[in-house]
Amino acid sequence: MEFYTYHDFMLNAKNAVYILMGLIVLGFVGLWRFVTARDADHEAESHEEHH
Amino acid sequence: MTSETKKTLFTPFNIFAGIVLLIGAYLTVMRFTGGLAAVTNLDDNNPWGIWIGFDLLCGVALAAGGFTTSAAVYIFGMKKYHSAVRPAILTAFLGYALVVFALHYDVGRPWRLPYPIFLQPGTTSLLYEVGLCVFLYLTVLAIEYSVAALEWLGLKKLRSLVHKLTLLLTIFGVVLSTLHQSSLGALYLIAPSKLHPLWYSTYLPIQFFVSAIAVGLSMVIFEGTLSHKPFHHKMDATFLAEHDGVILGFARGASMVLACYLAIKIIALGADNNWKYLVSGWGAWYLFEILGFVALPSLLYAIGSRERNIKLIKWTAALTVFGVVLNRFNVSLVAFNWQLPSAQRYFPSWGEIGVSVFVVVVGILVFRFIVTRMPIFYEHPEYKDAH
Repeated sequence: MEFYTYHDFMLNAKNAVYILMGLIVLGFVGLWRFVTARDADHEAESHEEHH
Repeated sequence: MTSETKKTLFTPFNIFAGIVLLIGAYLTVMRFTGGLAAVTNLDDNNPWGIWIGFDLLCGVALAAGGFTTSAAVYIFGMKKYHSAVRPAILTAFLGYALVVFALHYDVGRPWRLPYPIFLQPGTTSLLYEVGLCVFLYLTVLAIEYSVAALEWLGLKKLRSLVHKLTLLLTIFGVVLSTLHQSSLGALYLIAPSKLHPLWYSTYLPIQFFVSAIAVGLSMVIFEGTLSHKPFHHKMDATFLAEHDGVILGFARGASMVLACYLAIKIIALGADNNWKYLVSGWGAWYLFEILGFVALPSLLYAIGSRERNIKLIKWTAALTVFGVVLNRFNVSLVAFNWQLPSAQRYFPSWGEIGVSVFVVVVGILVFRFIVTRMPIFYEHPEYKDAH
């Protein structure tokens, strides 16, 4: 893509970054949910082991 | 010499270490009698070689386990990781001590190393800030580590005095690490025309700092894994009982931090609109680094932490450590001076590689000397629960 002014360049770059930031926030929520999904099961297992 | 002594002294590692020390001694004489040119391929285009790219940049990053672990335990109150603090502090202390040791080989006149601190402080220079931080943080780590040495020596009063400083030293360590881990990346901001656009970014300081946290957490897992077999007899019940918890907790942390690092890398690409470089040979190498050694370990850590797969986490720690070493090599050597003709590009000499291996082996030998004598993997019987 050709840019003729600095404004064109910044507009394009910022648009891309804002979209990326939104996707990254969603990605983080997904990653955290994925990592912690089995916590309750593991806690129940260790609770049973203690008793 | 009895056959038993021979058996314990002449192990394959000891023989290898002995050969490396001899080669290191020879290279040291060469370096300090013949100058930098006698053992290095450095020149005016490439004044920083692997003694900076590996010994310093990687050494400092890999030693980040010290401040991350002590911050987790003493500042964020995660006491369940307490048994990981001493090995992490020792690794960090030796890491920084070896960085300064290796720096004596790299700078032209090493006897002038104290000059910027005490005689001619260049307060507008980033390099001055890095030097000051490393000098102060090495001192902080020496004091933090000295608790174990004082317990070993039986100096109870002094040990008690130093132990009272733990929280203050931890805070000081976090501040200093934040400053110089990022400043090492900031050093390359001065060379936008020399560093390839895929690696050059105004986010370099943040990238160096965040990747240092990820590799710090990984180093605690990696170093614990390597130590487990040879020093198992030195580990007490508390250390062994907490070991799996440390690995699982640090893996979860490292997964999220690596995801942050990946996000910052992607945003840096977008902010500078450097997408076009991805479809080139350099782009393939960049994607190899980012997908193979940032995105993949983040995912593997997440799976390992979720499934409680300790073996997978240990392998992922090694992958992450290698990935950050690769990143520092890419920034300081591979993608640096990328526009120069290949004849003028830098490749380390055997002498430089030899000194770097020598420094690593010295570190391993000192680590072994300390952990076989001092309370690193176990609590000293006279100071049980004195934390």
